[in-house]
Amino acid sequence: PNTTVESNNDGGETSANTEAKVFTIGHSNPADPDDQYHYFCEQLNKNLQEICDGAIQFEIFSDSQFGTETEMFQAVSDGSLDAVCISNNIVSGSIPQLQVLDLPYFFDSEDEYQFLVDNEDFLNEITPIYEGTWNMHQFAPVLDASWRTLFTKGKAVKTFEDMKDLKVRVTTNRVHEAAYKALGTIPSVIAWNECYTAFQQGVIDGLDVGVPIAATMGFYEVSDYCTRVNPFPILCWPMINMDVWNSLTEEEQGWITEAGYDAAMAQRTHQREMEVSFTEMEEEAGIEFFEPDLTPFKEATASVRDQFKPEIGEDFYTMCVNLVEEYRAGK
Amino acid sequence: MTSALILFGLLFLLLALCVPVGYAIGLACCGLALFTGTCDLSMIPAKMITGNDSFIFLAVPMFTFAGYLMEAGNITERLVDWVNKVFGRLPGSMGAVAIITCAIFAALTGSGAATTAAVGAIMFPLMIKAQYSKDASAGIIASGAVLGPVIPPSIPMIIYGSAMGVSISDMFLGGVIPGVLMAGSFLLYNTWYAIKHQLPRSTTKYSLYDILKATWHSLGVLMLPVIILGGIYSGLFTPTEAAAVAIAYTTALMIAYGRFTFKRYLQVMKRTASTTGVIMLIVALSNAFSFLLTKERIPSKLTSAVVPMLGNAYIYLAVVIIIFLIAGALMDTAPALLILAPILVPIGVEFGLSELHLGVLMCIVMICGLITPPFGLNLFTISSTSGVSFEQATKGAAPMIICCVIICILCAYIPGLITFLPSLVGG
Amino acid sequence: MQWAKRLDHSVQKINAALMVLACIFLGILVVTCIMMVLTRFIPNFTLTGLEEIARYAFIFLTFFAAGAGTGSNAHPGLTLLRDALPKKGRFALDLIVYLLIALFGVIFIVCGYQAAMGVSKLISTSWRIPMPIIYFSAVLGGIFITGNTINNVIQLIVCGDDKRSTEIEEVQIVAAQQAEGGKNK
Ligand code: NA
Ligand code: NA
Repeated sequence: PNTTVESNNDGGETSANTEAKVFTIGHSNPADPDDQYHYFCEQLNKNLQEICDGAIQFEIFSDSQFGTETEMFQAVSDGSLDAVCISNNIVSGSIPQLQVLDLPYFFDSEDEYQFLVDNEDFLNEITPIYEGTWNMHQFAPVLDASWRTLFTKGKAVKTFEDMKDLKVRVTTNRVHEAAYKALGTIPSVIAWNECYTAFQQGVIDGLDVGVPIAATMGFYEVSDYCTRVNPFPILCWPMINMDVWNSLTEEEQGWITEAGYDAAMAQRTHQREMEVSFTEMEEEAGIEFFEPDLTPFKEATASVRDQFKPEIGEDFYTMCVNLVEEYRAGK
Repeated sequence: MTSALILFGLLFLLLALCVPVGYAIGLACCGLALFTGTCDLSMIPAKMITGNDSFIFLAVPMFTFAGYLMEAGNITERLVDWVNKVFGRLPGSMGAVAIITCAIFAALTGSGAATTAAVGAIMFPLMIKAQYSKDASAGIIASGAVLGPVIPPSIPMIIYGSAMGVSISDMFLGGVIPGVLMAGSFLLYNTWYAIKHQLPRSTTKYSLYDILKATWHSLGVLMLPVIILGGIYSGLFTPTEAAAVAIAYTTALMIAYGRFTFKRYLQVMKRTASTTGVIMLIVALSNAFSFLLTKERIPSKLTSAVVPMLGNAYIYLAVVIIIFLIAGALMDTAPALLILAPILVPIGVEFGLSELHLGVLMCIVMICGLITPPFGLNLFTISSTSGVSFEQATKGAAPMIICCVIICILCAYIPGLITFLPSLVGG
Repeated sequence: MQWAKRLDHSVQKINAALMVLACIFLGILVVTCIMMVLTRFIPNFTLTGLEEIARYAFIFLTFFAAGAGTGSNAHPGLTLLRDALPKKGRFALDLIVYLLIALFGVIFIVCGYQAAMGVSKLISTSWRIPMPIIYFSAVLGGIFITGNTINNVIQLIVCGDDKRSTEIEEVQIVAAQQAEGGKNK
């Protein structure tokens, strides 16, 4: 890490503490204080300021300044970036077990996926892979950016039948692609930079994004409708390079863990509030929201689970299913 | 600031030593990485791979390929014939035909050298025959070919947009009005030239039937811009997809015109591959370069140092134009854009200018470098295809260099010239 | 002398082969992109992962063509200083430039290999191709660049063959003439 604090022009609050250890943290979203990933990073710094007088600080690289999420994942693994907030649907390309979180309609509610990603048995399976294979440590609970919804232009998706032959831009994630194919749409490859214009001009009919990112990236400006298809949650792992982590004293690790935990919890609460206020804002902007009956959606995508079960691993898959069902029963 | 000095000091030293641009960028990156020790040297090849691993960049070899195919497919002759019959009675008709052919050809291809070579081979002898001086003929064709990358599609704009995260469709649209203005100013100059030198006016009158026949004859060619640009802006394809369609279409045209042979096709592919190798090596290395810039926080440090010095957006824009004109005089379009934009754009954004406006402006100023000495690709190309010396071609192009600079200045201070069309489609 | 000429001959043959391979990559790129357009417009004709093939073909195309291009000094640079120098000065300058390019080539091979090892655990999204295979294109590119530059140095010293005299403008002239030739055939 850099041992001196240099002037930071990106509006991030840096400590006056000249002895501070400064680490780099990257994410792919805009540097909007209400953005889900950016909020967490800023909160993390704020908490560290209180806990240890800013003896540890994170220098935030937003807007994919450090490269795509795949590049950042690699960069944290080899240490050229210290930490990252990285979407599960990107990590699952490298850790196939995590594809379980990408499966369509695996969860019915926010509580369910939060329960699973915080569950000790679940993490006991995942942590060794992160640490052993990828040389990184999870320093805070998984962040939550709500569900992926379907923003459309021109064509309203009110029922399952409306999905037929819709051209939808999907992330480059095999599970997501398979799910959208199973839903009857034509998954299209559009670069993230081109999405806004492609959507505006009608190259694609639909965008698979969350309500918050549609607000902060401005996609709502060029959409007419939003259908709460909600096939997958948007989850994000806060990870730090293992060598960096091990170079810290136990006290310093404790500071980061405490600040990270509080920041993640605050992020989850903030996310709930923003989901509501962003929805209101988008409704005011003229977007019509639909909540279709999800039963046919679930039926159509059931085969996707079986398709990816072998990659995820039968045992691990079954464990996750059981955990979620136990949770449902307990509720 | 030391890191900025090392990076740019090394880069300019290597460039001055005549090290090829790509390697100069690469070596400067290695030097900085070794000096600061903040990242491993293996970052450089890694960033090259991930930088080129982009779906948008696929449009670069494909538009190049389509352009070369059109050159090999002999479509220029049909185009010239059509333009001559429709616009041939303007004063200074041959010059006007050359400029209008360039403008239409520009809507088919993304590169300036390709436009010069394709139009020059046919138009140069015709202009000489119409009593244009050698200098003026070469100058007008080389300048007309500047429209190649200004009017969409445009390879510099694809490279810029992809590297800087600006929508390529928007940038393409942003180039339309500046391109039309440039073409208009070239036509004005041409008229003035024709009147001053008392060039004979064309007296051949074409009947409507002749014109319709010529239109039918060149319909395949005239449809291409409709398909490419219409396809992009009606929401049929993305720019990358449009490039693929252009290849399929030009290949079909080549077959239809009886110009297709495997040998010729393979030759075009080889040319495309070698152009791609040269451009994309530079683009790949520039990705490592801009990664180091970000990592060393050079753009933000420079911004905070330079913004108070410049004071306001007007001075900033003047500085940008001067820097890019100098860079354009000395260097090829893509590398200069890739080196300068990551540093200059954040400063402009700080002054409240839009990234789209800055992007298109920087591209068109750089593109003007195609006809500015000492390094002017279009001038080299025209002097080789016509046998006119480089100096003569430069002399002939001089009035149009002034036109280009004036239009760049207009586009800088009237952002609407660039942003109006994109906002219209966006509305 | 003779051996140097033979060496140059073989190197140019290898470069020609590299260009053929580059053309094959270009072909793959174009065909997959055209297929991709088709999949979007013909319902029920969906092929996923085409985009990934196109991107990787593009990366290989770049490094193969860039490597072969080093042999013919196709990579452009400034020429102001070189033009101003007398013949002897040019010789020295060319030698320096070649050594710098060779240095870069070697760095490229070593670091490209490190980079490839660095991603040994990464696999591609669609086709599950191990990423080191893709990164290895950089190592190959480095080998082609270094090999060609060593040959250029040998030609310069042994045969006095001043390859860099084919400066940017002349390379451009050749390209334009090729275009012409292609047209008039
Ligand atoms: Na063009
Ligand atoms: Na120039």
